[in-house]
Amino acid sequence: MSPTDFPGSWLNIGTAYDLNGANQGTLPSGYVSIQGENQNLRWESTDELNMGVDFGLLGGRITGSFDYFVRETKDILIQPPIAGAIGEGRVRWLNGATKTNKGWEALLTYHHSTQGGLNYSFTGSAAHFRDKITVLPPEVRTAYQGTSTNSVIGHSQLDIFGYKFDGIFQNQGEVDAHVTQTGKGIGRIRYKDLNGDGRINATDRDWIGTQLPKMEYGIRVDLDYKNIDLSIFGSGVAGKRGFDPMGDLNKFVFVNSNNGRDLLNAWTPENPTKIPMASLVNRNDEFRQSDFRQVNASYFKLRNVQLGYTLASTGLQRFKMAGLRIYLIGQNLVALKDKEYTAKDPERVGGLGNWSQPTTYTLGLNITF
Amino acid sequence: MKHNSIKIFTVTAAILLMVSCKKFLEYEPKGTLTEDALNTPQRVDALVTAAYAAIGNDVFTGPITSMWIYGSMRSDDAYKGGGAVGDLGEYNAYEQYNLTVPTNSNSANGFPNTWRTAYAAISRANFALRKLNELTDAQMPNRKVRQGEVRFLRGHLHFLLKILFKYVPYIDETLTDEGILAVSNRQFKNDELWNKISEDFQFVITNLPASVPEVGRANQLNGKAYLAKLRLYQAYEQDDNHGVIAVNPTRLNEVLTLTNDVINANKYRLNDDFAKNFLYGFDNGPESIFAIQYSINDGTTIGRISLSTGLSYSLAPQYGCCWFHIPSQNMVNAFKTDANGLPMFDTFNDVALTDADLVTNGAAVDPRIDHTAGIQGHPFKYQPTILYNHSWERISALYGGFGNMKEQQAADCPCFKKQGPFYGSSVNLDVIRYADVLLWRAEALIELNRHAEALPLINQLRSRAKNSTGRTKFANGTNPSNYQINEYVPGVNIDWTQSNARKALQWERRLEFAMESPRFFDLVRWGIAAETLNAYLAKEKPRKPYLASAVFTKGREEYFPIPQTEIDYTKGVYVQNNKY
Repeated sequence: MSPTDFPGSWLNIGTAYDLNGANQGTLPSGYVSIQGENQNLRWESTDELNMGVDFGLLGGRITGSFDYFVRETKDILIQPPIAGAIGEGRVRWLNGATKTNKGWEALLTYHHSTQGGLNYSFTGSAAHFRDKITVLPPEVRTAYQGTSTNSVIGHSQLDIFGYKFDGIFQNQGEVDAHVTQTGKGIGRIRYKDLNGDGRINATDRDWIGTQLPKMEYGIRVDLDYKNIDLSIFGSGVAGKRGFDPMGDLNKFVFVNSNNGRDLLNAWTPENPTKIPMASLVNRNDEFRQSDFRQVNASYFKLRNVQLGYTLASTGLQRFKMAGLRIYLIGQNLVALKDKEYTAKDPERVGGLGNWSQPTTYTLGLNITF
Repeated sequence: MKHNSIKIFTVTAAILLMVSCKKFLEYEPKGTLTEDALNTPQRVDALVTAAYAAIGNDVFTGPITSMWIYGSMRSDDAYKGGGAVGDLGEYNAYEQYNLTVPTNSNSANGFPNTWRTAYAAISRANFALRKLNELTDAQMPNRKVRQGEVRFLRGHLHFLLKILFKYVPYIDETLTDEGILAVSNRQFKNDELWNKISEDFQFVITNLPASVPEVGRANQLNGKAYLAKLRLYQAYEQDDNHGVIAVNPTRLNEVLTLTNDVINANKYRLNDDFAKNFLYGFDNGPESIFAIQYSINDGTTIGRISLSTGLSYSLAPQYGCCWFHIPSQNMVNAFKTDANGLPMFDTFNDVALTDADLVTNGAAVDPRIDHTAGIQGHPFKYQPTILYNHSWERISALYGGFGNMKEQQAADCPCFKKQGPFYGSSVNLDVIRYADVLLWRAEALIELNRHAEALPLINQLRSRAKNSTGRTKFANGTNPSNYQINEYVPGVNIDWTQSNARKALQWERRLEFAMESPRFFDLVRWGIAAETLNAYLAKEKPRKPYLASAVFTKGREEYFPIPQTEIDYTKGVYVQNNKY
C-alpha cells in the first residue's frame, strides 16, 4: 500500500490543540487516520459436515443418538493488532486464519416402566470438541497468541501459551546449576529453558494447555410412582485445566492487604512445598503465564432436583379444581470442584467477581381449574 | 465550525463500521474525502494541528508529557505513592528496579503504552509531512514553516523514546507500513541515532523564524534549545553497558553555540518568581521555551488538561484522590543548606528532615522546598490559608511524610478540573524552560574545564530562588521554613574547582527541577545512575521498608526493555536491550 492510500474516515478525537496559548475558547482541530484499507476483503466462508445416528434397542428401553461434526471456517475476518511504530489508525480488516472444529455428541437413555406403576428413565449425555487453526497468514499472526517462531498453527485459540514450571529451587546449588533466569533464587520458581539457549526469556514459552475441557457431560434421572414424581439433573465438565483467579492472591504476598491461606504453606527449607517462598517483591516475575498458575478446573454441579406430589383428582372436584400438585425444587444444590481451584466457581470464568450461583429452594403449588 | 463538521464525520464513520459487515464491504474506499481532503493547504494545515495535539495526547497509564513515572519516581526524587505498593503494581516494579520480562513488558500500563503513544504521535507528524511534501510553496506559502514545525514535534518524540529505550526504530515520512515493520531498533548505533534525530532540529533551525505569531507553535529558538539538549546528552558517549566512556568536547562546544544563540536572542529569561513556572496565569511566560499547551472550556469533551499527572492530587478535602508521585525523604533532605546558604553536599542525608525541622526558625533550607513539596502546616500551593496536612496522605505509613505540589493547582483555580476520580489543569507543561538552557550551558562549560564561566549561570538560578519567597509565606508574612540560600562565591564559601563546580551543577539541577522529572535521565547521562541510586536505596530502606529488596542493576535499569509485544509484532526485527 502506498502511504497516500488513506481511507476516507477521519476522527477528530484528540486533534484539537491550543496553538494560540489562549487556554480556553474553541480550539483549532485536525484530522487523523482511523483505519487502514484492504481492497481485497472477502466474506469468510464455512464448510460443515454433520453425521448422526439415532437408535433404539430392547424394544425402546434404550434410545440414543450420536452426532459427529466437522466444520472448517476460512478467511476469518479479523483486525489484527499492529506494531506501535506503524502508528495511529492503521489497523485493517483482513481475511485471516482458517479454523477447523471437530466434535461429537452422544446421548443415551434407558427407560423402563414396572408393572407396579414405577416409571423411570436415566439419561446420560456427553460432548467433546476441539478447534484448531490450520492456516495462518503472516499478516494476522499478531491477532493470536504465540510468537513468530512458535505460532498458533495446530493449536486452538483457547490454548494456553506460557512458561513451563519446573519446581522450586531448593538450594544454592540448584540455583547455580540453572540457566540464566533473571530473579532466580532459593525458594523461587524454576522455569524450563525450552529452547535450550541457556537463558529464560520470551522464546521459552510454549503451548502448555488448553481452556477447553476434555468432555462436557450431563446426567438426568426422571422417576414417578403413583402420585409422586422426582427428577434430578446435573452436569459438568471433565479434564479441564484453567486459571484460578484466587490462585495468585493465595500464593503471593500483597503488601497492605489481607493475604491468602496458601501462604502459610509457602516454601521454606524445612517445608519444601510447591508454593514459592514468601517475598515482598516479585523479582522472579512469577505472575508470568505459566502452568504453575493452571489448576484442575473441572467441576460437576447438581443443578436441579424436583420432587412433586399430585393429589388425586377425584377429591378435588368439590373445590372446583381440576388438579393440584405440590412440588419442591432445589436448584444448584451441590457443586463439586477440585481443591486446587480456590475461587468460588470454575464454571464462571473471569475475575474475582465469579460468585457461585445461589442455591435456591422453591416450594410450589400448582392448581388447575 | 470546522470542529462541528468534523465531529459529524466521526459519527458517520462509527456507524458505517458498526451497522454491519455488509455495509462495510459496500463502502467505497475512494470516497470524496480521501484525496480531496488531503490536497488543500487548509486541510493539510489541519493535519499539522493534529500532529501538535498528539504531543499532548496521553494519560498516566502511558505518558508522553510528564515523565514522572520514568524520570522522577525512578530516581531518588520520589516514591510511587497511591493506595498500596500494588496500586499500579507495574510502577512499583519500576520504582524497585525490577523490570524482568515478560509481565511488565506485556502490561498495558507504562512504557509499552508510552511506546505506542509516542509512535502514534510520530505517525501524525509523518502523515502531515507527507502531505506537506506533496504541495508546492506556491500552493502553500508557509509550507516550509509547517514542515519545520512537524519535524520539531517528530524530533521531540524520538528524543523521548531515545532517553527511555536507548535503541528505538527511527520512523520518517518516507516509510510505508510494510517498510516500518522492517526497521530495526538497531538500524543506527547509539551515536548515529542521536545524529539522525538531530536532523529534524537542524531543519527547524534552517527553516523557522525566531518568533512566530502563535505561541503554541515551534520556532527557530525552540529548535536550537532542543538541539542543545540533544547534543548535551549525545556528548556523554556510552558503551554497550550504558556506562559513560568519554565526554565529547565537540558536542559540548555545539551546546555552547546553541545556548548562546538562545540566550542572546533576548526573547527568553527567567521568571522573577520561581512560582510562576507552576501557577495558573503565567503560561507561555518569558521562561517557557517550549510547552505542551493545555486548555479548558475549549469545545472538547473534557478539555485538554494535564491527565498524565491526574493521580498526583491528595485526599485533601478540596480534592479526594489518588496521592501518587510523592517526594522522597532523600530529596527533601537535599534542600538543606549550611551556614553559608549552600547545599550540604556530603552530609545532607545523614539525618532526615522532619516536620519539627521545617519551621520558621528550624533547619536552614533552600526556599525552593516550599515550591516543590507539601510540608505539614505549610501553605499549600501558595495558598496562605490552606495548609498541607498529613491527613491528606492516602497511606502515610508506606509513602508518607511530604506531598506532591508543582504539578497540582488550587481547587478554586479556573484552570482546575475534576475528571472522574482524577484531576487535571489547563496549566501548560513546560518541555523546556529557560532555566534548563542556563544549566545545560553551565554543564557544558564545566565539562570543557571552563567552570569559571559556569558560575554566574548557576548563581542566576540561586539568586532567583532567593527572591522567590513572596508567594510561599503564611498569611502573617512569615516564612514557613528557615530560608537560607546564597550564591557561590569562589574563595569565600567554595573552592570553585571543576569537581566542585560539577557537584554544584548537579545539585542545582536537582533542586531547580525537583519533581519535574529530568532527574533519572540526568543521572543516566552523567553515568552515575547505579552508584547514586544504590546509595540512595541504602539510606532510604530503613525509612521506607517497602523498598527493602530494591536494587539497581547497573547496565540494565538505565533503560527500559523494548516492549515484548512490539518485538512479536515486528517478527523479531527489534533487538532487546541489555540484560533483559
